[in-house]
Amino acid sequence: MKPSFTAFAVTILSVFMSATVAVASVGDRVALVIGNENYEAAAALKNPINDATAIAGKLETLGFDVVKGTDLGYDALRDTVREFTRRARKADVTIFYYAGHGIAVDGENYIVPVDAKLSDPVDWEFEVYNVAEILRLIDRSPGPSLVFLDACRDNPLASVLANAQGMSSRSLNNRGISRIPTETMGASGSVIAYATEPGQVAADGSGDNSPFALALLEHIGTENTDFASVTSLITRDVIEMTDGVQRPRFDVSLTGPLILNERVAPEPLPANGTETASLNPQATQPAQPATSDTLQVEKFMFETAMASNDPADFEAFLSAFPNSMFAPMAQNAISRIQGEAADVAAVEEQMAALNTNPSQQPVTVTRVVNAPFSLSVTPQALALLSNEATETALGMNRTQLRQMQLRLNLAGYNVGTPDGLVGPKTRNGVRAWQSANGFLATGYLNNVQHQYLTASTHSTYTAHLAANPNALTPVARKKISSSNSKKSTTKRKSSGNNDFVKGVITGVGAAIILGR
Amino acid sequence: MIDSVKSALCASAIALVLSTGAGTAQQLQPEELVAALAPGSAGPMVTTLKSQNALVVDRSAQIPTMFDFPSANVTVGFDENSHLLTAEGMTALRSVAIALQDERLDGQVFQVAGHVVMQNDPNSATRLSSMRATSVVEHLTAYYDIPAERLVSVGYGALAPVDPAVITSPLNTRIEFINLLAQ
Repeated sequence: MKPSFTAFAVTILSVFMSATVAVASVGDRVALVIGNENYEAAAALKNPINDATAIAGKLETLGFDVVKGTDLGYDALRDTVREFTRRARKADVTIFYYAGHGIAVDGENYIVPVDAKLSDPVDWEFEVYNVAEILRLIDRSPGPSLVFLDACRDNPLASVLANAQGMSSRSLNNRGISRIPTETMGASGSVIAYATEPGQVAADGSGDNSPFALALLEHIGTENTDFASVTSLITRDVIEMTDGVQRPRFDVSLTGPLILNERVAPEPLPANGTETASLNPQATQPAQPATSDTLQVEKFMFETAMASNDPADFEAFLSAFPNSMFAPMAQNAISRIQGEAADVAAVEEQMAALNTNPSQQPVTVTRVVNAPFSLSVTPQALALLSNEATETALGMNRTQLRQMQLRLNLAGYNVGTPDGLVGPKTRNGVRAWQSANGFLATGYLNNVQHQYLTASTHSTYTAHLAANPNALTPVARKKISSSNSKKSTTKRKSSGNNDFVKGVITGVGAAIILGR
Repeated sequence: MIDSVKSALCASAIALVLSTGAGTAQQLQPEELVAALAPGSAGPMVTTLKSQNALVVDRSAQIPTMFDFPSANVTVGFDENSHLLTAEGMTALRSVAIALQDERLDGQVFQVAGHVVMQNDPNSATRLSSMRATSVVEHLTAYYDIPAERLVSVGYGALAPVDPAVITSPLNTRIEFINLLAQ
């Protein structure tokens, strides 16, 4: 017997209200978090210790056993890595986060300890720690690994090394770290994340944290979300915070879904009518405007009903939230499920009739298509190229672009007011939508992607337009400009002295440096 | 005689099409499409030519209406004057896909003919009809794994209206599937 939906929903409500989070059994999780800030031979960085501390705290809330180190010299770094390796031997998930200077020479990435001088063309190799070594040790643990290299910041040590005698033949680049081939990671799957595109410089951030660390903190604990989707949220935020200057890069080779914050459905309360009524905020405060919390509850309940696909659950949802924006969809779902049940009954009847008349020849099976329409992404659809040209070929006019933006909004990718003007916000929305649906995140649609967007948002879109007939009416000019205003975090960039390192040391041809 | 067979086929196809409009109404049924597209539905002219091994048409060109290949007209929804499929259009194509996967049509090659009527602009009509036909082929190959070799898209513009008497009739704007009988 299925637990009562209403009682279950109330449990969810109370979970939201008391802000108690039920985390699913997380297994054995171990993280290595390092922040190097106060370098002996270079100016101090501003944020790595803040970043490492914040990330370590966040990971602990996600059930990680965190090995943390700050301002590590070479020996301390080696000891810390050893401690981590020891604890991670049986880990189901491992994370390595590094904030600090890094350098890449001949395509090899190195972490720079705080006591490195990097002044000698031979000695330098004994002063730095090879990232590949850490990756190799991480890969000994059976589970997937996530590696975050927030290390591609401008590195003055790089120029010292680059100018050192004898380095001219080495491939040293002071513009950030090199890309690590994911094949070097084992079969258990991995994500290697770079705070910016390999070879580019990442920002240290003018606040307390780097933009990458901020975005990571914000999203790594996103509930019930596959990490592959979390990456697109992080990417979106960093791009927004840096006005598009910095774009994180994720090399994802996970072999299955990885959910870091799985919220389990709590045990259903025993059915108790009185308690249910008194706990239901809709009953006591029917006129209360929907806050983001109640919206979230609505959404959660609706999704629960969607998952069970039981008309009784949708009816319970409707009685709890008669004015919900999901109400029309719940109504549709009820009629759909009832229709399907009728179809099944008809087929069963047909089959029964066939069974009772075995002599009836020939048997013609008439396929009846009455199921609601839905489209599934296929490998063929994923394989099709999408770029600026494929989107231009769609020939979308202003109205059709508005429709596309509204559909992206309804799919959960906020691209602002559907004004038919396609800017970075819309592109990021397209990218995030593509990424979440398995398409290559190019920011531009092709025909089959447009078809999928149309099909997958059809019911919400129709319901939304029915409820908001003016949703696609052209907006006034000033409204357009207000929709373009950036999030407050963006403003950090212009406030205070500019810690963002855009320019990089120039004129050094020889080597790669990851660097802070 | 030939024309009457052809228009009879068209009429039955249109009848299917009309029933697909409203959301809750009966959807376009693959079975009816299979019946209209099966080789046995070929008209006398094509049947005769075929039996004499004299049936030759260019599969990627517009086929004159006198050739009575098995065919079905389907009203496929596109957004206004574009080749962007609507959800309704895709719903109709799902039935087409099921029909094309039916063993009675297994491996057969179809011309996907776009028909668009734009009274004052025949060139645009031809271009749009061609883009719509391509869009349909892309959809069927991408989402239903119909081999691309089985579908040949061709734009007819306003060349072959089903209702020449009322040229603006919405029935004239459609996608026609023509079984090329392995041509």
